[in-house]
This record gives sequence, structure tokens and C-alpha cells, in this order.
Amino acid sequence: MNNQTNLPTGILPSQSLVDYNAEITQALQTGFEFTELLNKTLQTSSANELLSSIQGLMQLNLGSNQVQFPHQYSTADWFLLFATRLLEINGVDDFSLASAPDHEELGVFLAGTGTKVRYQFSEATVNGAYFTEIESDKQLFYLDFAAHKLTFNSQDIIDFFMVQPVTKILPAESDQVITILLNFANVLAKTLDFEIDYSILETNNDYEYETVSFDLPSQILDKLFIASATANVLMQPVESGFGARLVLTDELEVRFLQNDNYQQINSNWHFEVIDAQGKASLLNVLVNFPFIQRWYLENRSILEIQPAQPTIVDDVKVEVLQPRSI
Amino acid sequence: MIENAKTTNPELIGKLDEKLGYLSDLRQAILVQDDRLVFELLARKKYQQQVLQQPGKSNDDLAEMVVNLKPQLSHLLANKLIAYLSVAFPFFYYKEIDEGVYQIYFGNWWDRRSFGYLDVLDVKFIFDKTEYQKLTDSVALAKENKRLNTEKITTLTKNNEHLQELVDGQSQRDMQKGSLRAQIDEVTNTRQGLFANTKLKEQRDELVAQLEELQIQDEEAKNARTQIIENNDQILFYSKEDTILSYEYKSIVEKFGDFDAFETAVDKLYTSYLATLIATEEKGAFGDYE
Repeated sequence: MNNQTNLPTGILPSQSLVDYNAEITQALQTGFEFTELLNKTLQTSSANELLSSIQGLMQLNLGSNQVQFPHQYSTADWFLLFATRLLEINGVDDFSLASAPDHEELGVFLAGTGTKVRYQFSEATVNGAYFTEIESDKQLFYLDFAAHKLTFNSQDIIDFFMVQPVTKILPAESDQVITILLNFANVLAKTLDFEIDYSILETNNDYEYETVSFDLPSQILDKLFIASATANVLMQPVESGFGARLVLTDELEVRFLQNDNYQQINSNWHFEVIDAQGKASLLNVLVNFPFIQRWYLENRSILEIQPAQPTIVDDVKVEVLQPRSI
Repeated sequence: MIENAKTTNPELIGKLDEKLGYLSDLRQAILVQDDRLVFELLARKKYQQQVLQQPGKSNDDLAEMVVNLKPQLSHLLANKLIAYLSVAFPFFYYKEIDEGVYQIYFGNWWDRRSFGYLDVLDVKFIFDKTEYQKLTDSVALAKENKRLNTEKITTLTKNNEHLQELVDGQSQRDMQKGSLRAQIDEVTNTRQGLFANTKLKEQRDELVAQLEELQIQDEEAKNARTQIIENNDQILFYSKEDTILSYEYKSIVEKFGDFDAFETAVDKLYTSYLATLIATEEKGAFGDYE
């Protein structure tokens, strides 16, 4: 109480509303920053600038008590915008980005599966997100911004392309979708120096697709032998190591074997896919040769490719392995 | 002294000369890689009869001298012979499991069969009797569009279907058993007139028999899963054998047209090979097959 005027102790008018104003200014500045980042994201032709502006967008906390931005996109959407913009910059156009009509949400359709299914990123944090087909919830790869790495998920890829009865994807359609995914991975590796774990999509002839099995019932190979005869493919023993080779076409051969040094621990059975052009992966083989696919799926618990385990860096920068079902 | 011995033991010396001559000829034939001559020296009678079509004169007494060299001789002669066979019988493969001992494998496919031995010195296949019999049987069956194990596989498959039905029928049987037991109780507890008793007893016996039949099926179903797995392993084994036999037959047909032509070629192997050696010799070209 001010004794002379009986007035309560006040604040100087010039100093009033300062915090209020500061808060609004801060929020508006963040808003401007946001629009600048989004502008850059939409307009840049540099992959590096795209990555940094997208990461900026993810980290901005838009809005405050005083300034509301009611319509916002999610982190998962920023991942999708990043992915599609990167493809656009690199001249890849066999996809279609779609926005929900009534709210802020992005999805993408890919050539091959057309409008049959839609893809998004899921379980997104600023560090990474899973590229996921929405209906089946199959996570085709994990895009890891923190570790600069993309890891294909062979298990879900097989489920998605070969097992699900609902979406029935034809071989030619699968091939198209896989091409886009590979394009994206290649662009990431080339322009942003991301490490790629191709897993079942690896096309390198020397790659060994390692299965979960060390011991193998001999019937598994006999079953493949019988199935191959029906498909007019001759199964032969491999020259070195123990296992089988099948010449599928003039230019394509698949092998399933255990190395010579199989006494060593961790010498699991593995596949090799050898083609003249170095373009075929194990998935191509499974998709295009029904007798191998049937055999693989019937004996999947034994033949499953080792699940890729994306290294996820969480917010406190501790490396943990994302548990994945085997 | 030497002169004396020759005159006093002309017969013995003559025989020794013959032996020396034989060994010297064999040595020379090996040096110049004249395989034909080596074969002739090892079994002259057979050579004269079969290749020259003349009455033969045995030289077994001379050839006996090199019996203990057979492994080395076999190893030596296998070189050109196997090169020849790889064209004449392209589906046979050989593995030298001991010096001069060649095991035959049929085909280059998965789990190909070990099919016997190649007798190099005799230029002859010694097929494994059991394996060869399977092949001839399957060839005979192929004419009826059947495979060696078709019947066995059919029987096993039917057996599996039956077992599967037993397993699948478990819950239905459980229901039936419940209802049968209730009926038996009912019949047992029903008091009826004197004349109805025989009928009741018959009815009861019938119900008990039905129940027992279901219980037998339950027993069978208990072991069905193990049996199904065992049957599946058997089916796999037989299917694999059929697949291998079909590959064998197919390779024979591809090369020879039919099985009879193959058997003839096998029978005539010695003369065909020696004729080829003579022909290459005449052309003056050794080592065509090297």
C-alpha cells in the first residue's frame, strides 16, 4: 500500500506487458523461422540443405500460450516430406504424395502398388522413423537420422510382398516398389553419405544373406531339390563349402550353403545370389521364382534372413538395440 | 659260360626272353603313351577276339607278371579312358578313391547316386546291382507313366489322410462318447417289463460296442502326429529317389534315345573304346582326349 495515495503498488506502464510481448514475439519469431525452414525445404535443390531444414522443422516448438498454430504436421510427416523431396530433387517421380483433405497428414502412393496401399513413416522421433505400409503395418525400413543410416527390414518386407493375403501384390508390382525404395536408399547414400543396410535387397554378388540357422535338417535341401525338379531347374551341390546351387536362368544363379569353415562358431547357412548384371537380390529371386518362395515360406523359421537390427540413438545419446521379433 | 647255358637250357632261356620281351614291349608302350598296345598286352586273347575278331591266343601267363602293378596301370590308362567316357557317357562322373580305383557317380545333381566302379583295365562299368536294378525298374515303369515309388507314396499319403481325419475328428468323437455314455446309463437304469429285458440288453451291448470302437480310434489318434511326421519323411525320401531316377533316365534318353541303346553301348564299351584308340592312332594323333 502506498500510504500517500492509498494506491496499491503498481508497475510502471512502460514496463508492463513486457513478458507478454516477449512471449508473443518469441512465438512469432519461431513462426517466421518455421516458414523460412519450410520454404527452404520446399525449394532447395541441395540434399544437405533439405536434411538440415527438415531437422530444423522437427526441432522447432511452434506456438505458446499466446500464439497458437492449431494446424501442425507431425514428425512422421516431416520424414515423408524429406523422403519425397529428396526423390524429387534427384528426378525420381514414380510416387505420388497425398495430403489428407481435412487435417494435416501426408501419405505416399508408390508406382507398382498404385492406390492399393499407402505408405507413411511411423513411430517417428527426431532421431528416426519406420517407413511403414499403413494397412498391414509392415515396416519396410528404418530411417535413422541420428546414425545416418537406413536399414531395410527383411522380415517385414517378405511379409508385405509375399505373405499377406489381403493386398496380394504381383511380382511385377513388387519389383516396381522395390526399385523406388532402392532408388531412395541409393540417393541417400550418394548425396548424404548415409550408410545403407540392404539386407534381403542387397544386389552385390558377393553378399551373403545370412539365415538364423546353424544346423539344418537335411530334408530342407531335399525338399528344394524335389521342388526344383518340378520347376525344371537342376539343383546341384556347390563346388566349395556344403550346400546347393540352382541355375535359374542363363544369367541368374542362387546358392544356399554353409561355408567350408562351418566348424567355426557363427557360420550360419546363407544364401548367395549371383547374376551377370549384379542387379538381382534375394528378394527378386523369391518374388520371381514361386517354387523357391513356397519352399522359403514353408520353412521360414529355419530360412529366415537374420533380422537387421537398426541401431537407434535415443535422446540421451545412449545406443540401444531396438528389440525386433525373430 | 653264357653260351653254354643257352645251349643247355634253350627252352628256359626262350621263356625268359619272352618275358623280357613282354616287359620291354609294355615299357615301350607306356613310354610312347600307346594305350591301345598296353590294353592288348594286358589281355591279348580278349583283344584279338573282340577287336580283331580273330581266334585269340592267351598271354595271361605273361600278363600275370604285372598283376601287382594294376593300380598304377589303371591310374595311367584312366586318363584317356575317362576323357573318352565324358563324351560317350556324359552323365557319369568318376572319383579316384584309391590309386587306380574309380567310383562312378551318376549325374551332377543334388545327392546323385554312387553307381558302382569303373574297371579301367577291363574297360568296363561295374554297376552297383541294387542301384542299377532301381534304374531298370523305373525305366520299365516309365512306360506306364509311373515312377518307382508311386505306389508307396500313394499308400503313405492315404495313410496320412486317414490319420489326419482321426486327429481332426477328436472333438466329434468326444461328443459322441458323451452321448453314448448317457444312453448306456439310461438303458441300464430303465426298468422295464420282463420281455423287454433281452431287447434292452442287446441295445446296451450295441451302445457299448460303439463306444469301444470310438476308444480304439482315440488310441490311434494319439500316435497319429508322430506317424504323420514319419510318413512325411518317408514320402520325401521316395520322392527324392524318384526325382533322381527321372534325372538319370532323362540323361540316358538325351544321349542314347532309349534305354536299350544305352545298355548296348555299355556292353560294347571295350570294343568301341579300342576302336577309337586304333582310329586315333591311324590318324597319327595321340591325345585327342587329353
